Amino acid sequence: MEKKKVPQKSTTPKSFTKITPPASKNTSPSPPKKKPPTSKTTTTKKPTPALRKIPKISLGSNKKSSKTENEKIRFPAEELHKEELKALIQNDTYPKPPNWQLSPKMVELFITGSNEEFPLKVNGTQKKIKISTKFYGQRDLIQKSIVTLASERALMLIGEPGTAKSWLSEHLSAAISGTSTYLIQGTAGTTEDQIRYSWNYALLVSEGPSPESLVPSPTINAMREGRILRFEELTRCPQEIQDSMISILSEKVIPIAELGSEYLIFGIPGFNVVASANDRDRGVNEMSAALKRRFNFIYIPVIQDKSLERKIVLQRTNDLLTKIGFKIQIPEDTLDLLITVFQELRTGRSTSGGRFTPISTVMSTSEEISLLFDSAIYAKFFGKSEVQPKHVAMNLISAIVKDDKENLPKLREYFNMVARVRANKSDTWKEFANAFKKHATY
Amino acid sequence: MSDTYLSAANLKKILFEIGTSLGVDNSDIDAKVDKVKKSEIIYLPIRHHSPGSTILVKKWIEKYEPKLILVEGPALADNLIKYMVERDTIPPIAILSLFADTNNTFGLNGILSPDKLVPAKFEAYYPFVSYSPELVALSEAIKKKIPIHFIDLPLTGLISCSSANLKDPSKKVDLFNIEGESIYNLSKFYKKFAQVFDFEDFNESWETLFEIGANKSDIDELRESMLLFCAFIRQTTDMKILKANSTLTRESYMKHNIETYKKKYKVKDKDILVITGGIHSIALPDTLPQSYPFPTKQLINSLVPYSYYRISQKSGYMSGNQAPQFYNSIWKKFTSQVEHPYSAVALEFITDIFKDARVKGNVVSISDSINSYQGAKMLAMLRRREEPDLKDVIDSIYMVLVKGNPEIEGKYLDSLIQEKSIGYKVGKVTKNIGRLPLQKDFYLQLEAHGIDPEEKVQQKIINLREEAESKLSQLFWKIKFLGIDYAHRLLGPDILKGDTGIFTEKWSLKWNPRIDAKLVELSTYGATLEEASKNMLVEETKKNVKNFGIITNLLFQSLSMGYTDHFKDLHKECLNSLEVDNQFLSLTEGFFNLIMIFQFMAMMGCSKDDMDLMEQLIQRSYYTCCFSIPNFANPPSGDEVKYIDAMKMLANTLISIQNIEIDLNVYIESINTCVENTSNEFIKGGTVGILYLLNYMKVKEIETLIYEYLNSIDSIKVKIGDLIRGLIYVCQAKLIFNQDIIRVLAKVVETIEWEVFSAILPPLRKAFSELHPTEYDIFVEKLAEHYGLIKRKHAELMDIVEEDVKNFFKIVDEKVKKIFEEWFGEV
Ligand SMILES: Nc1ncnc2c1ncn2[C@@H]1O[C@H](COP(=O)(O)OP(=O)(O)O)[C@@H](O)[C@H]1O
Ligand SMILES: [Mg+2]
Repeated sequence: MEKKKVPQKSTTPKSFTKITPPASKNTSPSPPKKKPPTSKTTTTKKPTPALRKIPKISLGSNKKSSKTENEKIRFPAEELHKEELKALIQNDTYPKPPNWQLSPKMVELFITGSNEEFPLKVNGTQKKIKISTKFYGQRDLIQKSIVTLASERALMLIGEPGTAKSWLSEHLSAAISGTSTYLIQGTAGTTEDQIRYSWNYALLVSEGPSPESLVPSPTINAMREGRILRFEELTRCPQEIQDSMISILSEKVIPIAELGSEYLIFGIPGFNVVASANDRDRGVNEMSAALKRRFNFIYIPVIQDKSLERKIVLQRTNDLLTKIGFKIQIPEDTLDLLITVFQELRTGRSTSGGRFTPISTVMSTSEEISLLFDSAIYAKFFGKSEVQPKHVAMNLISAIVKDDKENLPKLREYFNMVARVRANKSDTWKEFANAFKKHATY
Repeated sequence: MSDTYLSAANLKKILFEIGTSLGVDNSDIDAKVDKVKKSEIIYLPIRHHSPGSTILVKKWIEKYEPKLILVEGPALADNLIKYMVERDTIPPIAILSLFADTNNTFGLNGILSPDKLVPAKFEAYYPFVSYSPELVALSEAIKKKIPIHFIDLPLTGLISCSSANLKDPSKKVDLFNIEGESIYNLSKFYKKFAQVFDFEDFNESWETLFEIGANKSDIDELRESMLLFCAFIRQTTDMKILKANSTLTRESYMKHNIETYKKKYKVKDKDILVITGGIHSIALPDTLPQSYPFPTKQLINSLVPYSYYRISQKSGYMSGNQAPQFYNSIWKKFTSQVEHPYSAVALEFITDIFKDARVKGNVVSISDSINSYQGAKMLAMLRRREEPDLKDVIDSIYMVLVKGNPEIEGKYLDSLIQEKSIGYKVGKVTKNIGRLPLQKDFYLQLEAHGIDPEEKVQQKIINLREEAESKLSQLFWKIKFLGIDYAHRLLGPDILKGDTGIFTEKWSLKWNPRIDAKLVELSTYGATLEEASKNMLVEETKKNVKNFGIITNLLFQSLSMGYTDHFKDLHKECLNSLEVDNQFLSLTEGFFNLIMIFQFMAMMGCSKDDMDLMEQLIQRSYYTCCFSIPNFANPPSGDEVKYIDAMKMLANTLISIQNIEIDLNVYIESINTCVENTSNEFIKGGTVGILYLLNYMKVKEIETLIYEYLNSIDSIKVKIGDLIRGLIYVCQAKLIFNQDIIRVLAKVVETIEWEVFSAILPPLRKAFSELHPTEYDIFVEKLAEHYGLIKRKHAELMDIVEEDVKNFFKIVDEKVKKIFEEWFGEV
């Protein structure tokens, strides 16, 4: 791979070559003047994420996307927490790295939350905004992540599934860049085009290679604008595809060979990458040393602390329920039961000292949240607007067994050794045990 | 709260905000601080082991030139001050205070010691490092000829005011950790403070506020900020705690000393500088002076070398310090007036660690170092520190180098970081300091034998049959017994193991600086090696009376030290121990010890009388052992082998025992009872095996036993594996070469069902793997023979083997003898 940098002309800022006009460093980046060809042409090879209009204000929104706001099931973090971000921006007195919309301190505050109220001025009126906690756990991890993103290195979040890696990456990007949607989802089928660029073939055929027929990737967009690129499940990509990130991370430049050796797309300051990887995949070990060296790895541990886990599960489930306008009671006992079951199944040890075969693969915090959410929905439609142990039992079986039929005997073992015994002493466990017996019929 | 950094300068506003949120009366705090500020006597707050406090002390003395300096430190140890600051005293060092309550003044003998007759012993270390504010105050004062004194309660004073609590075993009194900062963590204010800034512990808080930037701070401002912080902590700490841990008593005593010295030196209040932990500084102006009675006579204060490692391990009297090496580097930067000391040390630290990591074969690049250094600085910023502290540095090192779970893939860094942050430095104490009597005795005794103790390494060969030389051996045994790391026996008879072929001992002698510290510590036991070792013997026997094995071992050591005149005392202890020890294992161990000692008593110079006593003791212990066997017919699982080993050893000893009358039937009776009572098949097999070895059981009976199992229901049948394992474990070749047994074993394997077989396979496999390889081979051949697969006469083969072996050992013996003669002359 040859990369020759184009000598910079005094009128052209260093970050852009012929392709796009300058973006001033201090204001939020504006969209490239010349839009890339849109997907009207039916021959377009792939949907182009780059078509997304770059948001006007740094709190990004996807106005151009085909769905209207109301149809969206899920908003990106920068929209969901628009006010919080605005308030933080208005009150930020700390130094900012170039092209960050917030200082590192304020990014930290956005993620960890704060009781302090920040005044927010909108249209002449003033509101007080509280910052909600987005990520629960060690503050060190957040600090190290932020520090990494402000450095030359990219950030790799690793850990077991469901430890909030994607969650953290989304919120970090939203806080730092105002957008969390420059995203590549790594799979076995991820191609280099998706990482770098592709072509609008209709234009390519009619006009030959030209800047106009180039279809930029999220990478190119993030580089041009000095934003954070998210690369989910990086290690699921084939190794040679992964390695195409090496030059992007070290040179911060993508050469467009088809447009001549002087066509280079530069990353401007602020550009960086948050990748995530599941450390249960063998992938992490197979990453090339050269690529590893471009990253600082932050390991997100599974939460051991029961009360913290409880807090997260309750908070997040309530968030989700509120979002769809439901109000459903989650009794303490039932929540306790859920957390206990998960912790015990995960470790293969009961709190009373018994041992059984653990089911560690699917017992993540996020699984807990979705299980409780599902149970709540179920309770809403078939119950008394209160989550009951039987709902937990039913959903537990389907959640755990859907993944792997082999989990059923393990679940039965747990049931026999632990749940049944507790049923004698506690009504909550009794209901759970009864429902389990009834439904565990696979 | 939008200041970028926390520092002494912007602290006031923040503290008052937190105070308000907790409902603390801020004006009260203000008044307290004001009182200290307005006080004529100058109270200078410090934290122990703190470069920031040290620089404050140093600058303060320079600027204000006090005429009398009083320091929180043990009163009565003033005589050590001049040695502490001598040029060839090199920190880390410690004042060691010792007290042995020989008169039972505190009534704690028998409560804190194993017996009323054994004096309770107390010790306290007061460590000092190069960056201890107290030590720097001492050296500045001596340099400037300013009188300086320690004013805190001495060790005996501390004991005195806690003795009531010490008597109550349910109250865990941590007498010598009164300054432990753990109490600050309990302060409501501190908790809130740490929570607001997400500080991990007191250390991180203090460091952020008062260490980083201390070199550039205005000293009056720094002092005021410290006072303010401490005032808040004191105000929100439970008074009960301050009472219980003697803080209040100590303060009134300190105040008493301040008054006393003020009168003595006739100086004006404003010329007096009182240096204490900040928590005391805030209280002292209002404290009423009071003096307390305490014993001073047997109190020993001395100076000993200390180590960074120990400082990091236990905090002792003063607050702990997790990373002495690191802070020493900070202190060096302070004194050489580096502008950003923490950043400079961070950079050095990172480059050092990365160099080491590289040497250990890890791929580490320059870009890693740069990234890590920048990372540390940025982390510091996020944590509101102007410069990175150790935590920031360590975090950034892991962040940059570890590409996975730090608990697994970062393991290799742990030791590197520990080495660089804690360090291994050991201090030195000037020779000019007078030696304590025990120290003197140690050197004199060795010199009397023509040994220069401080020569680095030497070896000494002793002919035990020479009276004078055996005296030297006894001296070495005393030194060894006291745990002084000086004399190590390389060679000699190992009487307790029955290994007694030679009459020569070879000792390696090696002096090191820790020996003096140890001798000082041991001073509570006595003024001479003899006295100390005898007192320690008494203490050890009282402490271990429930373990006959240990008691007999002490008897042996006592004889090795030449204390034949002590025999009767120890004999009595042995009898006591036999009464109270009910553990078969320690009882048999003691029995073996006695048998071994008995054979050498004559050589060790014991009287006929004592030997008779010994004989009776052996007989008694034999019976006690035997009687306890049935109690252990069902030992805790996992321990079976140990019990069988002990029973078998006992049998072996009984067969070989000569000049002591012993009734073997008692043993056989006990083993028989054990066979009947046990429900553990390994024990059953083993004990049956013992009976067989002693000819109290025939092969036929064993056969019958095995068949009994074989014809039982499955749940009993599966135990046959353990039974056989027990048998083979004890008898080995003596049983399994027997054609009848082989037949039975073959039968077992032939007739047993597959399920049962798979259950007995593990113990069987274990049994055979415990055989000697040649035994195993022979067994296999015999088995093959049983099935008619091969034919061979093994009897001859065995004989040939034995003959060969005998010849071989003959040659070896000759060689060994020659070597010994070359070394030691005719043996
Ligand atoms: N420590 C945590 N703090 C906040 N939310 C958490 C935490 N752990 C898990 N969650 C929740 O669980 C889900 C995590 O899912 P995700 O980010 O996709 O995990 P991963 O990418 O690690 O597999 C999110 O919805 C998040 O809200
Ligand atoms: Mg994910």
